[in-house]
Amino acid sequence: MRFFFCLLALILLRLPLAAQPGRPTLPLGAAPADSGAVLVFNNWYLPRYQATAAGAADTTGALLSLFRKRRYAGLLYFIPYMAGMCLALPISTTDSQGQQHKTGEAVSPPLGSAVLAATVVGFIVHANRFNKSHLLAIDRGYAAGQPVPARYRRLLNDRHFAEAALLRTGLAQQMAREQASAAPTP
Amino acid sequence: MIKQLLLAALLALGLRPAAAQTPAPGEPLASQQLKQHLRGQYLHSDTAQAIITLYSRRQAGGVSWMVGATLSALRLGLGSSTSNPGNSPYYTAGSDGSGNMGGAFLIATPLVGYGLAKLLHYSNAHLQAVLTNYAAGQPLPHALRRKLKPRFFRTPIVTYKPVKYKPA
Repeated sequence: MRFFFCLLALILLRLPLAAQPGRPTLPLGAAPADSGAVLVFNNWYLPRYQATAAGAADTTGALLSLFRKRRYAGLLYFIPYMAGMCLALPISTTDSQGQQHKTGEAVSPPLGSAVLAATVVGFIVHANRFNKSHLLAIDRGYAAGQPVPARYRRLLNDRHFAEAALLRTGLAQQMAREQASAAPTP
Repeated sequence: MIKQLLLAALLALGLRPAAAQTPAPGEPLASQQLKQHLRGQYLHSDTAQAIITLYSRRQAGGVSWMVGATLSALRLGLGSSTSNPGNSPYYTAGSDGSGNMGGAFLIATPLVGYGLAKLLHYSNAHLQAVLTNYAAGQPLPHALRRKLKPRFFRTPIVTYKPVKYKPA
């Protein structure tokens, strides 16, 4: 319930930022000039991407965006973890006199342990699936002409491509600024 | 106790990188695109870049004030404290062990208001207006000029490391 409220608050808080007039409409996947291969964020590998006239989408950038988002979402495994702990371990309460009462038995140790085990296993699988080295392997295969594995390709959506375009444009802007500051001023 | 420590660790881990990174993962796409458009428009003006960085930081700060106040209010209001650290004899729980929703609301309201005021003061519309005026040659407002610190000039748009290309 509490987490529901938190999520609701988060969603509501985004509204004043989102409702701004005159926002430019960038086409999805519209990426700028070639920036070369770089490491971004926490040393994640972002391969080079050349926007062609044929309009090949920035798949590698979208994959990076997908992986990064999913890595952050791994924090949500904390919720079933807490639920499992609350079920599996006895709960202590404090009354108004300050006396601590510990319930003799947990709510449901078998169910709690099952939830805990499932959460831990699920988290390991999740963290392994969205791993830096896996992304690197996919990027290498993609550069060599192999398709992106279907289980990752299925997860890609428009928002990932839009974020990839943001990242590429930001990189191009940063590089342009660095070049301008490195060039001798007349 | 463990629960609170874990929650604190979760919040610390979850919120800190969000504020430190560009582009911030929590920011709405439209807002990010607008800022990027403005950055491209005034690409070679260091002051304009610093102003945009300042506004993104302050917006993130406003959101985190509101989120923090809401979370604390929920903790105070709903969560009857189930722990008494150190078994303090002066420890008193709520009247019947449940929280005090009215008190939590009173405490949280000014904090949420502060965050909201930040969001409204450092809005994207205001940012656009400031940049337009600055590009037109008007001097920056005194309050804004005081807020522009050297760290906003040093912040890159995107932090990256180039990779040496090795032909296979």
